[in-house]
Amino acid sequence: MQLIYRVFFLFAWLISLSGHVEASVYDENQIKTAFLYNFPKFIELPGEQTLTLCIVGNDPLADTMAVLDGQVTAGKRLVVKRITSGDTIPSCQILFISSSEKNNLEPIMKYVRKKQILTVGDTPEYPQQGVIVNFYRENNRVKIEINIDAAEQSKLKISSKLLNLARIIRDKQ
Amino acid sequence: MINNKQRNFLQGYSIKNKLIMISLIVSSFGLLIIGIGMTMTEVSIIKKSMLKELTVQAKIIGNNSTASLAFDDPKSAEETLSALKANTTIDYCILYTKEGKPFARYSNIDEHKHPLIPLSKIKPNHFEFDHVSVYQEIILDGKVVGRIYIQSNLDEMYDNLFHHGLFLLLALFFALLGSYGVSQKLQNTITAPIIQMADLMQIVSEKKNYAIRTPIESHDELGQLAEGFNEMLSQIQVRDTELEAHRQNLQKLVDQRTNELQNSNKQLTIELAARSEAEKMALKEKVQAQMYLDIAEVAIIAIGVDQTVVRVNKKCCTLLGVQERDILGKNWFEHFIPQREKEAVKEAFIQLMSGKVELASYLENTVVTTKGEERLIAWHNTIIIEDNGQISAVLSSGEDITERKIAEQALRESEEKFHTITASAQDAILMMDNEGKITYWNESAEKIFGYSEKEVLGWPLHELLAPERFIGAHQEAFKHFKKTGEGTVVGKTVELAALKKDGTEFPIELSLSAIMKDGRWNAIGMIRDISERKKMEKELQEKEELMLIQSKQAAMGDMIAMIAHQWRQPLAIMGMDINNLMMSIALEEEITPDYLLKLAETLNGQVQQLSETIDNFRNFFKPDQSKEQATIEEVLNNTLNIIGSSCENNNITLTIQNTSTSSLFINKSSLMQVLLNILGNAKDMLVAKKVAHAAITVTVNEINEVITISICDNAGGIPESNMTKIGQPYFTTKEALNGTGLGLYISRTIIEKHLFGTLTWHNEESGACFVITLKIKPD
Repeated sequence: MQLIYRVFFLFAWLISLSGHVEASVYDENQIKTAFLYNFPKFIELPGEQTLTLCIVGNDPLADTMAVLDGQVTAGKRLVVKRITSGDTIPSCQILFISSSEKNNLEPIMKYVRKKQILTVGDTPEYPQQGVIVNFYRENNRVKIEINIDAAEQSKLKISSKLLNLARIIRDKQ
Repeated sequence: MINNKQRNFLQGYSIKNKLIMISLIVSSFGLLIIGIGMTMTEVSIIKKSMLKELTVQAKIIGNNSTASLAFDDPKSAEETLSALKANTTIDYCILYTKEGKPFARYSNIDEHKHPLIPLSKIKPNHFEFDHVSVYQEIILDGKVVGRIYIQSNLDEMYDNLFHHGLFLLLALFFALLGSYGVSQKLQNTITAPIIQMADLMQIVSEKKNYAIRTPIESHDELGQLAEGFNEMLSQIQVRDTELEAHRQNLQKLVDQRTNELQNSNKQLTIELAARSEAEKMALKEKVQAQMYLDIAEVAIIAIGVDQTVVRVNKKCCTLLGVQERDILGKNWFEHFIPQREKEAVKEAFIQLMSGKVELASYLENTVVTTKGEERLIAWHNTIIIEDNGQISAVLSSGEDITERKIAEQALRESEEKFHTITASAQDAILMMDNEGKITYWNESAEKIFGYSEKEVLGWPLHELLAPERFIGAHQEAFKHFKKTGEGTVVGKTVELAALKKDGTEFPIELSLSAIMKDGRWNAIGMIRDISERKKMEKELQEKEELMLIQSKQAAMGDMIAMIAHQWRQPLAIMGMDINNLMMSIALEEEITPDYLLKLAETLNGQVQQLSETIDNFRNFFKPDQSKEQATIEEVLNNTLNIIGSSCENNNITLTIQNTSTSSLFINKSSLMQVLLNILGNAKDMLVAKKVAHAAITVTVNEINEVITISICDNAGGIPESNMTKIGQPYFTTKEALNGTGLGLYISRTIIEKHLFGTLTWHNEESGACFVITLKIKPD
């Protein structure tokens, strides 16, 4: 092929690549949101008609997740409540703890212990601290890790289908 | 069309076989339908079940993959899919995202064996001949999260079907077998009565027995048939008897008629045969006629009224150089007769056509071939007259006489030439045929014999021309000649006596040769009148004899001289002796008787010598030429007696070597004359040349009954130029001595003619040698 064509293709590829990079960041939040939206289909949660999704903290993901408000999943309507850190946590079935609460996890975890609340995070080490479902990145993909002990403690049944594709975290005993 | 075929197909078989075949065909037909139906049902069921199974599997897998799809985890999806391994017929399982992108994939097969159907071609439930597939949505919580596609191969199905088919065929075969067996048994109920009826029918038609009836055993259609059959037979029987009666009647009529017909038929046949024979004959004749025409060695041509050629044979065509088709219909005169003869030939043709056959039945005219060559043909002409009396054509047979004419011309010329030659010949030329009759007599023959040609032709030659005393001998010789063409005189020239017309006998010289003419021996003779010659010969002979006498006389002269010479010595001796006596008497010497006796003896001796010489001389000159037995020795002695002392006196040494002892029957004096002549010549030559140590040697040899006398001298030899001359009369080298020149000539004549020997001479080293040969027994 002639040189001009080669240059053109290289250029195009570079552009697409850049787009991809940007898009991937954009997509990541979307993916996590989508995942979260799907969780109720694989995790038995209390509540009959509504599912309250409490979002603690502030970060772009939190903003994206807020979009879920009003969506119906697993036959229930999602209601999104935003909670700033430090406030008391209302009754919700799903609690998303954004990365901003990284250092403030203790009181939240105290609150949710022994309650049937699905904690979701996307910060490393969260599961070790009791967060049930956590997002992590591997090979440019959004993956899920689940602390099954925490899930058990919260008396939440997670479908094996989901467990199959998640990284299992166990509490250290 | 089909009915025909069917009918023909089955018609060939008996009813029993037909029935069996029908039932077999029906059974197989039925079984086949069942078989096919079953197979189709089977296939349908299998398809359905396979689809159902696949659908279920798809659902299960799909269900289990919801999480993987929802959470975009292809790896876990693939794990789920791998469970499909358990189902060996499943080739592919593909999960697609809800956007239609491939998400996870399972394949259990070499892609080339069973290729994967691309997405664009997928139908929801897909049953092709080589695969079955399902394609469904995966629903999670009422929403489509992806799609699943499972493709399964049909190997197992086909396998099953194959086995199924085999089993079916086997079953079919056995079923047919069974069917055959059963139908065999059962067909009897139908066929037995039919066969029975058929047999019966056979009997009826064979034996013409209409009284037979078939038993009625069943009440079905066959029974009806049997009844009807019987009914028919009864009716036939009735009619038959009626017919028989009529038949008898008719038969009589028919026989009558048949006879009539046969007779007329026979006649017709005979007529036809005769006619066909006649036709055949006519054809044969026609063919034969053509064949005759064609094999004829002469050209045959028929020219019609319109002057065109209507018929030709092969020979004519070859002669003219045409093909038959090219000449037929052409005007004969315009095309094949040269311009100069056209009118004349046409004239002849017209005469023929008007019936005047005799005038022009033979005609020689020229024809022109297609090559432009002219040939002379001798035509024999006649006319062809049709049945109605009209002359339709001139028929000619022609012979090519061109060569013959040329030959005749040549012969004529040759004969003329011959005639010219023989006419001008001086000798008579005669020809005698195989019967001894004269067939040729030229002008000279006329002159010589005096008969004209007319007078002699056809006359017997010997009787006419030979003197009476010879006729017998001639006839004898002729008998031999007639058969063989040979004879003592044939091919030779001989002298005979002949008779002229006026009866005079005259000598002829005849040259006779034999020729074969027309397979027989003829003779040609050339005859010369040699009367003149004979006369001359006689004259010559007389002259010779005269010469002989003359020479003898001359020789005699010589001899007298020789005798004188010979006598001199004895006479001298005698004179001396007598003188001595006279002297003794005169001297009164004592004359004793011894002395007288001695004297007498010597005188006697000398007288004897003288006497001998005279005797020899006398003998030599004896007129009679009688022959006697004598040896050469005798003759030589006699000769020496005469010439001996002459040689001595001339100091010529004469040596004689004679080994011959045989005696010849000769004329002694003739031989002596010759010897004397030769010796005399030698002596003369030796004396003339004054040769020292002159010698003459006479050698006589006898070899194979030939005596050779060689007389050789050393006188230097005969000069080359004289070699032949000396033998000629009147040639001499001794003119000074009055030589007659006849000696050697006469000697040779004597030797050759009287003594039948030879006399030759040649030169040797020192001189000449004269050689006489004589045969002891001359022939």
